[in-house]
Formats: sequence, structure tokens, C-alpha cells
Amino acid sequence: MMYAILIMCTAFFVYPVLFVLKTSFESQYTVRAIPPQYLIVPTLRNYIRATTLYEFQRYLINSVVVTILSVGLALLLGTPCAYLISGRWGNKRRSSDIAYTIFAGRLLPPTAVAIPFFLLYNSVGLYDTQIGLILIYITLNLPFVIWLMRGFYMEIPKEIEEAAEVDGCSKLSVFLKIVTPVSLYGLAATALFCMLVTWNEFNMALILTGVGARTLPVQALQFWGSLGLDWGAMCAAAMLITSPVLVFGVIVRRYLIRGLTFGAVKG
Amino acid sequence: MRRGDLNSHKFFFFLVLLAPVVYANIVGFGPFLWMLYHSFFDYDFGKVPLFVGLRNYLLVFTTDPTFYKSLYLSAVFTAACVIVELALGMLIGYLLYKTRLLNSVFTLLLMLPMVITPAVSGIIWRLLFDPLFGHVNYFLSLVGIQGLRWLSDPLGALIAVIVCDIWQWTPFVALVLYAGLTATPPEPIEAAYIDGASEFRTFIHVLIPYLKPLIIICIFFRIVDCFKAFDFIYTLTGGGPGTSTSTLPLLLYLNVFTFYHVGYGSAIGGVLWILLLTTTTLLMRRVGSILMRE
Repeated sequence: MMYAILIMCTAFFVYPVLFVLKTSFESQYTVRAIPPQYLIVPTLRNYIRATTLYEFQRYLINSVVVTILSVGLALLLGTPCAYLISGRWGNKRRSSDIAYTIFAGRLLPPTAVAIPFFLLYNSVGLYDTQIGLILIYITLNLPFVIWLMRGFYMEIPKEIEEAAEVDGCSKLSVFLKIVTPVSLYGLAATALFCMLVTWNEFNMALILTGVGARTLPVQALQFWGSLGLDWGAMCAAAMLITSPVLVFGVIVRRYLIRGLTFGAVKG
Repeated sequence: MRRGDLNSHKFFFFLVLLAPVVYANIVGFGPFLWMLYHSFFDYDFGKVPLFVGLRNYLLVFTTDPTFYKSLYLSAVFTAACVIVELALGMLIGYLLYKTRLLNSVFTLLLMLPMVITPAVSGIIWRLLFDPLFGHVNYFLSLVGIQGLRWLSDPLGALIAVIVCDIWQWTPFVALVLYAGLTATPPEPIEAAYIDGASEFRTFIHVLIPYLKPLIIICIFFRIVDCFKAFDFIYTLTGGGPGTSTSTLPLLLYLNVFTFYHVGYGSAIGGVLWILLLTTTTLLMRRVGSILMRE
């Protein structure tokens, strides 16, 4: 009985995803049939239409470059910081305060942050550039990186580090040679989670890009403009935009809740 | 060995520690301060800013009909979403907790809506809410409700937006509460069972107190995110029809980028920020202690 309710609820959440998946492979003639046709003969024509309508590769490359670089840089900047506030060094109160300010960034409405940047970038020439997006996305990712890695570092027992120090390692060596390999798994999870968040970002990309450095989610809106009636191609575009993130999500699903709640819930 | 070590590295430590913090604060809060500063100016894009003090805020609160409407919409949207997500999430979390079979399959499937690009999910639901060909109307017709015009009707559009958010984020609440439930110690539950408590009573009086911190966390994050919500609303309804789904972030965006009223839009941004700040400060102390508890 409980299973029945659970299955029904899960069906509600899964249905739209399956809908998009099915429609993206569906021939144009049955795409808007009522009642919906579920047994279809798959075709790739929609995908071809979706990728050749606009310069799909350009937006794809934009998304990939911006995501990888901003997450990479955020990791470089944030991991040492996370290590330093993971409670190993004296002042626990100061560590918490610093952690707090970083967390507060979560509360900012993205539009508000992007407006001054819009004006600034316009005068500096960074409007509609990948670099411009990367700079602001680093700020987006830093809180996640610092909080997540802080959590991971706190799980590493101090004994390992102390043993290394007794054996003569400098603190930097301890970090590079002992702590980092152990936390590689956490680093990977953090990286994938941040990539998920960055890939999906729409608000700031909408404001700060024109056509040149536009990322895929923003392009989705443009797709709607011309493909709104072409459900097949629209769904194909949607699948293409979302599939990397679906893959990321499935890989890091164990850390998803932890990331979204800033480590408060260890899913 | 230790003391000398610390002194020589202290500066280096501070540098490494402060660099990202400074960067994040400048890039994150700087623009915000800029925006607050410009909310006191009469500034349209392209014009020279003119200092007008609190006039923008006065206009926002007195003569702008769209502001109160947006405020109302934001409040209704947030309240509806949070309430439904909490209730539904608790139900699903509890069901997951009670059913052991195939749990990993269910959690995997439930996780999918959370990761879908919000902008894309707005488009997906736009298709589903299509009055003629959308699946929502199809399923409703199976139970006898005919052809509702979702996106061209103010109330319908609002409901559509709420449904989209519920679809996307209920799994979040469900999975958080499920994680919390699996972490509860079995003794109180067994004690209640031995004392003859019904399933329902056990749930209310034993499990929910354990879940309280998590519930607060969920409420906190959902309220913040609902007030900030922009992506899927923009792609689902564009704020419309008219302005019937223009919540505060959308109002901010429209003012600045469609009407180019930067100063005025900044005032709205300022109000939104104060709103977020007050709401979160109320919950923040609780949330903070939960977050710091490792």
C-alpha cells in the first residue's frame, strides 16, 4: 500500500523527464497527438534540427569552457581556504565567522549582483565574454567549494597529519602529500557538484552575455522562440542542454543533498 | 619546532585564507553595495545619475502598483511552494523510510527533477501546460476537467509556476527528511511501539521532534530560493500574462533591463534584499547553529 503511494509520487516526478526524452525522439507527426502516443518509432531528426538551427556548438563550447574554468579556479582558490578553516588552527570562533560570511553569499539574488556587473563590464569591455562570466561564476562556486571541502577536511583524522609532521613534513607538504590524496574523492564530488550548479546557471548569464559568450541554458530561451511549435526539436534541445547535468547529478547523488544544504545534512 | 614554523608561515596562511574570502566578498557584495548606493539616484541607463535621496523608495512604496503586486505574488508563491513541498516531502521521506525495498532506485529517480536545469524545466512545463496539446490538460480530461487555459490566465499561470517549483524541489525536502529519518536512533521508536502507540502518533511525537532541525533547514533554503526564483518563472511565463507572475526578482529584472530604470530597479533590489535579510535573520540563528554543529 505504501509502495503504491510511493510509486505514484515518484511517477509524478519522473514523468516530465520521460516526456522530454520520448518527445525528443518522436516524429513530428505524432509529437502533439492527444492522447499522447507512448510507443514511438525513434528518430534522430529532431536532434539534427536542434543542433543546426543556431550555432549550437558555440553555445556548447561556451558552457563547457565557462563551467570547467570557473569551477577549476574556484577549487584552486577555495580548497586551501577550506583547509585553513576546518578547525585545525586555534581560533575556532574566527573560523566560524569567516565561514559565515561565505555562506551569506548564498542569499544574494543573482539579478541584483549582475546589474552592476552589467554596467561595469560594458565599460571595461568584458560584456559578452567568457572571462566575464568565469569571474563572476567563481564567486558563485566559492561558497560551495569552501563549505563542502571544509566538511570533507573535517572528516580526515588529525592523526595522519600529526604523524607526518612528526616525521618531519612541513605544513605545506602535509597538505599536498597527505591530505590531498585522501580527500581526492571529496574533491571530485565537489567539482562535479559545482559544475552542476554552474552549468545550470541562467540568471547572470542572461544578463551578462549577448550572443557571443551565451551559455546553453540562456540559449534554451531562444530555442523556444523558434522551436516553440516544434516540440520534437525543442525537447531534443532540452535533452542536449540537460544531459551533462543529469549525468553529473547521478554520479554525485550521494553528495547532492550535502552540497545543497551546505553540509548541514549528510545525505 | 612548532612555534618557529607558525611565525614564518603566519603571513602566508593569512594570504591564502583571505584571498578567496576577499575576492568573494568584493565580487559578491560589492555590486550589491553599488546597487544600494544607486538606489538613491534617479538613474536610467544612459542618463547621468541624479541624487534624489529616498525618492525611489517612496515611489516604490506609494505610487507603483506593480511593486505591491510583485510583493504579494512573491509571498503567495513562496508560501504555497514551501507548504506543499514540506508536506509532500515529509510524506515521501517517510514512505522511503518505511519501505526498504528498491530504495536506491526511488532516490535515484526522485533526484532527477532537482538537477534539471531550472530554465529548461520551465520550458518543459510550458509544453506540459499547453492548453491544447499539453499532457496536464490531457490527464485532467481523463477525470472530467476540460481544457483549462493555464498560461493565458493570471491565476492559472501562477499555479503553473508553483507546480513547476514543487516538481523541482519537493525531492529535495523528501531526500533531506529521509536522510534525517534514517539517522534517528531506533530506541525511542521501539519504546513507542512497545507502549502501543499507533503509527501516526509515533510519527508525530517521536520522529518529528528529531526532524525539527532539518525541517527548519528545508524551510530556510526553500524560502530563500523561492524569493530569489527567476530562471524557470522567466522561461515558463516570462512574468505574465501581463505581470501576473512577476515576482520580485522578475520585477527587478524588468525594471532594469526592459525599462532601463536602473535607479528605480535598484530600489526594488534594496527592498528585496531587506526582505530576504529579515526573513533569514529570523531563521538564521537556528540554521547557523545547525550548520556549525558538525
